[in-house]
Amino acid sequence: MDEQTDSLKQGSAEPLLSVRDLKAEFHQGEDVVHAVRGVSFDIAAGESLGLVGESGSGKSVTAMSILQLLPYPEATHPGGSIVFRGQELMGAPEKTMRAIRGDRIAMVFQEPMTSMNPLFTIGKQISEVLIYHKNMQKDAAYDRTLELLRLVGLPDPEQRINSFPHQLSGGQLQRSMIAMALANEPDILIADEPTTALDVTIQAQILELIKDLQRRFGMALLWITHDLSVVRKMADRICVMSDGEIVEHGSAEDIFMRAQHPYTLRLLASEPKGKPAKAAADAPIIMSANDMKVWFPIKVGLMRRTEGFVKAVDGISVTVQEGHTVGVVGESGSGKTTLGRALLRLLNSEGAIRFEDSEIQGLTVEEMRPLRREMQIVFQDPFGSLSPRMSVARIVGEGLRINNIGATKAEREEMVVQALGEVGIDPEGRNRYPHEFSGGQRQRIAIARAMVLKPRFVVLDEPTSALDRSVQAQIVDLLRDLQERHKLAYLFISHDLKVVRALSDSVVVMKDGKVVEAGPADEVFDDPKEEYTQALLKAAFDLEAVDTAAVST
Amino acid sequence: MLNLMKTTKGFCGVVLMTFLLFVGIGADLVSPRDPLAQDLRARLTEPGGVSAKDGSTYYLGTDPLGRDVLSRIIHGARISLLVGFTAVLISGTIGTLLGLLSGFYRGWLDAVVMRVVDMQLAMPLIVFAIAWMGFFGAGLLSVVLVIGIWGWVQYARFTRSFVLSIKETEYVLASRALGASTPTIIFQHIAPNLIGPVIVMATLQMGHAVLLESTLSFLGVGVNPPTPTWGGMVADGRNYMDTSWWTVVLPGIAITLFVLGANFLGDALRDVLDPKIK
Repeated sequence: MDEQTDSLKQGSAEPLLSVRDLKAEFHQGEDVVHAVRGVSFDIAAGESLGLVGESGSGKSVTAMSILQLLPYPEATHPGGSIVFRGQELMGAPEKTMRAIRGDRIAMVFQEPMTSMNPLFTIGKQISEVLIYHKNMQKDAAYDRTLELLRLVGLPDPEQRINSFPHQLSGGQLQRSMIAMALANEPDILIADEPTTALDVTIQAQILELIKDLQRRFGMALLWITHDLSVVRKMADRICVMSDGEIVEHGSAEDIFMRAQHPYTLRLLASEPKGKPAKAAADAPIIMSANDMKVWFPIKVGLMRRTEGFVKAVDGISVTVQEGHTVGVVGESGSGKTTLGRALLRLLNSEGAIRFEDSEIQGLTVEEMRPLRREMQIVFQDPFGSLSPRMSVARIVGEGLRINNIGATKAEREEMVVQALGEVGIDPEGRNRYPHEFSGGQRQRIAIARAMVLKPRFVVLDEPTSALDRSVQAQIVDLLRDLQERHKLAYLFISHDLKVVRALSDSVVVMKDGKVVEAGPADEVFDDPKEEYTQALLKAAFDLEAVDTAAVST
Repeated sequence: MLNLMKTTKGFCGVVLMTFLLFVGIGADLVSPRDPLAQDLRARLTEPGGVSAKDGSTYYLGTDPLGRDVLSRIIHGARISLLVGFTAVLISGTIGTLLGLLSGFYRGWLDAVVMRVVDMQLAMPLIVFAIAWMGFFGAGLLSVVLVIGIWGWVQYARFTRSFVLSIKETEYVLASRALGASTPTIIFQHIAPNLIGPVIVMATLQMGHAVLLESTLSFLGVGVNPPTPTWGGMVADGRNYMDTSWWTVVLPGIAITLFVLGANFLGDALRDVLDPKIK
């Protein structure tokens, strides 16, 4: 491996990959989308280049263009050149590209779950790359695969080599994907948001793994991400992309310390910040649950016998006061969404739930109905939570009609207009349909739907997770502003600790349906007691992996 | 409608189906002769042949009983349309309703409906049709009922799976969180999503229904003679096929055109009604 590192370093005077004035367009009928409009950059051997931008900035299209993997002929390149080791890749014959893809230039994708074929074991999929590119014999390929899996730190590689993708966790699969990409010791590894779909503790592990492997193999890294803190950790040089163009580039230090372009500055300023709204410590309790349990039975066989339970929420107590925010943090599968839905009685649960002065556990659907307007929910995905067949005015007005609020149609219309105005959506556009709005605007509409009913308690289920950073910050500000104005009680569910910190008075850390640690936000964030919380915070704020049994792989 | 006509397929579908609809409705006006009138002297006249009786032309020839093939095809269109529309209406209504309910409520209703679906899918249509005709007698009404009852399974399965996926969307959950009752959820959120796909399916099934009607009539368990149907005409002519091709091929072309038109229209409707393409 050292020999290889040396040989690569000799050639570093000449760039390994040189992209010049790359353009990419997508054609759909008459419409043309200019995804990439003249992008140029170089990557030297062994160097890490970060390509940062928000969704739709053209960063992934740029990466796919390098490997000529766009859906041609809908996609075209009206201009530009991509030179790899003196060879023009733009319009190169398929045979040339096949020899390069996965061999000299390898790629790791965002979704490990869909990047592997579910029908073959990971061992077979990785050794296939070796057999195809290196003409290796089956046995030799198997041995090399095992070595690679060991290299990427997959636990129990002898066993896992024969596992199917669904038998591995997201982090383990991403490790396998990396092993596959490294199989032929590529000159360049393109990583397209490889950690975005993973939990923070796993993200930290994968980042460290790739950094380590890059050092050992001496390969160049093209790192594509929307996450500035990730690129800061991973890249030597950074290109900031917006609207298909590179608006600024420089060393990582230059970008973070001396950014010039207004877009870069805005991106840098968009990290969630601010403090939770001030609220009286003795404010009345709006919502509380005591020893709540949500167990889903696992039924097997023809007679649907109950074999065991998935304990999604297993004995959790939580109290939310007027004007306060309780942040619920935890990794995927920790049960935080289930907790939020069970509190609203959208899921059956056990244990006392008190809303204001009344016990709501055990109320029938009919008995709950009058209380619904007092407790609302905002979901993560602003594309799935709005009916595509209703106009915005109807979506926001739905709750008013259902709960018979407002005497006349005109009165309800007035309330809708007001609610939309309050969340920053121009009420003039209320007769348009959700698909005409951007993700951030749609999330504002979803918030307006909840707020128009003047609720007392709102469950915010990852309301910012599907949004770009700059939009996230705006939504956090909006939520905080609404809370102060209406003395709302929030249960804020998120895996994003930065956002939770900006909004919550107190925090509940969940793992496997149980509370790991709970308390005032300052205490939990500044002086975490539990090992798991410490690892979580380290991973989220410093992107550092902590070697502890408390986190999974 | 304008969007529908934009593609070649949509245009062909609309034109074909409109043409057949007008021919079927106005059969009495359009057809040159009485479709039932026999003229044994003119039996199996070639297309373009002249009647010995009054010197008029048989544009598409005559069948083994000397009946005018063109007039019978025109009148057969009426039967085909009638069978197609009514059968689809019956199966669509039963199937969509049962699929909607079983998908929404699950539980025992779902189990019962789906087992009935399985049972019906295990039985060949011909066996079912012959058994039905044995009990209730053949005839137009029987054909419509057999095809209508037979078709509901497709709608039920399709609607059920569709409802299952919509029911789990966040906008339905959001609506529940707003306090919406079950009928509100069904009519406001689920039904509007169903209408488009069900119309598309009904259009495609209409072609299928006409094909079934022809099959049943061909086998002699369909519409009673002498009522002109396309399938029946093929059956009548099949013994003379080697000498008089027009008795089989021409009604066959009519069947093909109808099914093709329905399929084109269905495909085009699917594209137009899909909100993702809009």
